[in-house]
Amino acid sequence: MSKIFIVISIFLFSCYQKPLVLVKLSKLEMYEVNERHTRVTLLKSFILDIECNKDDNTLYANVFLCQTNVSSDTILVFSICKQAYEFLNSNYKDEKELSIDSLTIVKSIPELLKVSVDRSILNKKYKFIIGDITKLEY
Amino acid sequence: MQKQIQDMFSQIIEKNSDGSLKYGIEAFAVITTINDKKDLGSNQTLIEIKDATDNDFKTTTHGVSIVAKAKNGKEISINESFANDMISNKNTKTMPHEAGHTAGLRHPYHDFNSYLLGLFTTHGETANSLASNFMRQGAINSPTGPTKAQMERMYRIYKSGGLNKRTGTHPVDQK
Repeated sequence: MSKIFIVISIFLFSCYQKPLVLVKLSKLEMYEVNERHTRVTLLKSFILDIECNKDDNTLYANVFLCQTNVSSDTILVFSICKQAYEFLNSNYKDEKELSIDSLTIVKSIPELLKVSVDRSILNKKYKFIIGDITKLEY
Repeated sequence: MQKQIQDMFSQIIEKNSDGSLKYGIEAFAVITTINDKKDLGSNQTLIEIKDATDNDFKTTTHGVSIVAKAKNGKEISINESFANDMISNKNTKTMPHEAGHTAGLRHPYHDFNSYLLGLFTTHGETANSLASNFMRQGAINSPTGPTKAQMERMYRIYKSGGLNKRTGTHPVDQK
């Protein structure tokens, strides 16, 4: 009996994912970037990696809580309908220097996004960007 | 950029027990413009600012942007979209970092020597450089200059005639 309980517990634990949350972007303020490249430090990743389905209008997004390196602003970066790059995973060990290329920033803002973020983070009303975080190499 | 290179490479590496200098580096960089690549001197390195779409910055790795590249021992390409940060001193690491590559320095994190067709690898001589070392790729607030091991590697490759060449083994890949 106890073995079955352990197996079920492991199964449930491995399947556990934070509940999906609907974000109304009109309630958040967009972050303005002035530079072509804004260097950021990744504080936390909320990766969903769900591809969007054309048949329903739901937009899923990965969310990255970041701090800009020059101005030290904490912002949310939404990446819509995309798989997260490996280096955005919290278990990525290699050295990394991250940046948001302003050319990837999406200006047309959808009304709703489905994400997997702690409500406490959304409640802080961080400014947001919809765009890509890239890894700088040199 | 000239100052960035000089400041990064000028280091007090080791002091005697009485505090006097035992091992230090004084670096001088001279940057000048040339009208034609053919005018590049045998002891000079070409630094070229190129459009972000140039082939030098193409990569097959998704999500990666190439800031700059030491193509060989004589040519450094800088991605134009990052050049302002370098000129305005927001980024003081990349230029000395690329100069380090042209002199044979490796990324410490990737400093391995491989043997028997890659079956065996050992850490290279600069692998244990400080976490703040300028040859590391991560975000570093106050990068530090070359270590003794890095200086000795550059000097060894220089003495063996492996630097300042467009062709042949890239300085980074020299043993």
